[in-house]
Amino acid sequence: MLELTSLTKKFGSFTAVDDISMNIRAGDIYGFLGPNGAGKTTTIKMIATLLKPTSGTVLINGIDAHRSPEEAKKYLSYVPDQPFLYEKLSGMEFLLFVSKMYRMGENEAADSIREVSDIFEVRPWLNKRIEDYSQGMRQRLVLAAAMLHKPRLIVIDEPMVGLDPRGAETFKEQVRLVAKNGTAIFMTTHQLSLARDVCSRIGIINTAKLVYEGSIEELSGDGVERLEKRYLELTS
Amino acid sequence: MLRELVKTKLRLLYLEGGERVSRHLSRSLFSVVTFAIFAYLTFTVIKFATTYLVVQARVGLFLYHRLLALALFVFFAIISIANILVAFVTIFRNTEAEFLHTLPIKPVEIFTSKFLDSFLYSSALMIIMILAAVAGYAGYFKDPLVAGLGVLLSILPLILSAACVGAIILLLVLKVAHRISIKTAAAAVTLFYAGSTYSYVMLNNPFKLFGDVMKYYPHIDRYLGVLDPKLDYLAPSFWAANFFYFATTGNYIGAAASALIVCAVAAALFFVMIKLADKYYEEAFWTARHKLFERKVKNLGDPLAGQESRARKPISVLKRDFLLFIREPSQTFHFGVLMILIGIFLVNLFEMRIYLPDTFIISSAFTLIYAFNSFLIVSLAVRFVYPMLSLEGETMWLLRSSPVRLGRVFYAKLLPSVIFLSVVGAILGFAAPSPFRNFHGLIPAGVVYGFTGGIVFPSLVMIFGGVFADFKEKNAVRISSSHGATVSLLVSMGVMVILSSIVFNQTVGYFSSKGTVPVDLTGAWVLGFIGVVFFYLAEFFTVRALKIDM
Repeated sequence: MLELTSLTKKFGSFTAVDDISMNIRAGDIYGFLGPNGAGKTTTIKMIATLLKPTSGTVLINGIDAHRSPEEAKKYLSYVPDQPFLYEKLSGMEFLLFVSKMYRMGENEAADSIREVSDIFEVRPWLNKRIEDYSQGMRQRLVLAAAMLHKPRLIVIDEPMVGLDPRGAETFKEQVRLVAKNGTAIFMTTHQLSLARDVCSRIGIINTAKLVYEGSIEELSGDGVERLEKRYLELTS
Repeated sequence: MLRELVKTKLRLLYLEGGERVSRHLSRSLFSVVTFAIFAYLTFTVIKFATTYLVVQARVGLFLYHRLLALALFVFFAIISIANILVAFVTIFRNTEAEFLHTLPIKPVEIFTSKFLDSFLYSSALMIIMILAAVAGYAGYFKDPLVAGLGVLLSILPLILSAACVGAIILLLVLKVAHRISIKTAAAAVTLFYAGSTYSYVMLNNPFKLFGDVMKYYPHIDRYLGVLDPKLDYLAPSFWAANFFYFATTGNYIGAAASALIVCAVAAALFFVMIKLADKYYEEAFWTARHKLFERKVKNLGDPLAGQESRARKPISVLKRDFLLFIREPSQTFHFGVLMILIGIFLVNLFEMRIYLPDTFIISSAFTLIYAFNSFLIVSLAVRFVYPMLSLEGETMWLLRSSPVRLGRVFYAKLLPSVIFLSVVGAILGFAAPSPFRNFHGLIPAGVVYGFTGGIVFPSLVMIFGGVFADFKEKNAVRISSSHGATVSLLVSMGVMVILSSIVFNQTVGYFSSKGTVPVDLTGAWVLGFIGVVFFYLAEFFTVRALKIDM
């Protein structure tokens, strides 16, 4: 579903992402870990077509994201760490707007909005303006919008920002559920426990290079402490 | 898809407008009154100027419309430069643009909706000014139909053309920016604008044209196109002015042809812009983002390592503001352009020679130069002083939680601007009497009025910066084109008109005495006093804004 081949991004003499390759299949939940400034966000922005790679390719569902971005993005949902929301629109209006952008029909959009707003428990808030939402409520709305058109690939940068324990639990459940239905999920996180709880595969990036790739069991064994230890070893 | 985007943008515009009115009724009422007064002032000034030029000075309809063409050219250049900046922050450096890029929307549709967004956002004041000015024109010629058609078929297409030129230049700059540096490209654009404005003003020297036209006296209402430099035909502003000339003189075929040219140019430029956007926008967007990220990683490394191992001194609010200013390309670019324009204006003033026999006209000419000087100061103040407080938004938490006196923050913000603008004002004031040989006695008045203008205008603008502070907007260009900035510009221009009339009154005696009676400087003391009052009011409103609940 997502294939990165020799992905490299340079800014002048500085290499932000260095020759990263990976293949994420349908149904995978891929945790992309790494310290601050390692190159996670740059990688994610290249996948979301917000940055162009210096070399290498990003294939989404077999489509080159930088040669046919519009086509590739039909299968993608991207949730940035600081998502943009139209403050003056209501949650409902925002979801309707997003549905239009994905060319969803009115009935399909209405059904989908009902479904995702129930899942993320934002339904009672949908008629309120976004400017009145709390940080957590905004994150729930963004996640609901991301799942609206049933994407094949969801790319999420720091999904737990602002979520309360209940919201976090809902997110984990949903991630598992959509992955079970064949959606690939690529997410960055600093929460090793989240990675351990939901990710099927892990990639660790350090100073622009992918230093580890494999299954979560292989890395963490039977506990989050071992995962933490290995992570610190790999990124030191 | 485009329709949906535009619909949403219009709805947001409506919602934000409505919100503003209902939440801030007093501010809105104040804005409406300011807009209305300003529109009325523009109407009156244009009507008076037209009556004066056509009836009293008898310049003839041809020359009058050539002066109009010159004014429209300056207007065209200002809008296109402004649009380069507003389009850059709206179309390329904007979280909404980033969000839309993650959706399966054609890049050209994103570009078009964001272009319209920036066009509507930055042109409100222009449209009000134009409507009032055209109404003033129609008020003299008593032909509202010509005025209405002129706005629709000549002025609005001209504004659109200017905005398109700005966006086209921006796309081309970003297209080449990955080969040459963005600074080199920006410098080339600055030189292009400065060069073309200078050439146009040189080619169309109104004083030379005045002499040429007067050779045909008394047939000075006739169309004397033979006097026009051929290069003029390339400027849409020339055809826009021609529309008014032909329509007013009853040559409807000429008017229709001129309108057709203006509309065709606008349509062609819009088409070219969309075609270029279709081809280059995605690439340009990536280039812009690459440049932004490049800046982020540019100074990575340990600043305390090696030679600089001693801890650096903590930086003050003043130094921080200075560093933020010089590191923001949209700020430095616009500042550079304005400084070059001021430089060109100064060179022109020193080269210009004005010999006018009539005391009233010569005082008017001096007052006009003074008014333009003030306008330059006002423009600098609105563009750079107004956003200062709102830009504090992102770091308000730091200011509010630190043991810092908010009054000091105000001084750190306004004082350097006041000093700088006073010096610029004094230099402009020194140059203002230069075209009037044998009237050196004007220099002290020019310097004093210019200097005090540099205190009054930034302080006045800062008052509005405090009243309309928007701590959510992060972009200086958008803040300085906001509703509050527009109001501050209008009020400043109102003050500018009052000051100009004081200057006129105080110089008319000087000119009528052939320079033997010194210029009365009482007005400058009053102006200085007003400046001090505005300065303290600015402090009050700034500190009040910094104390709002977060």
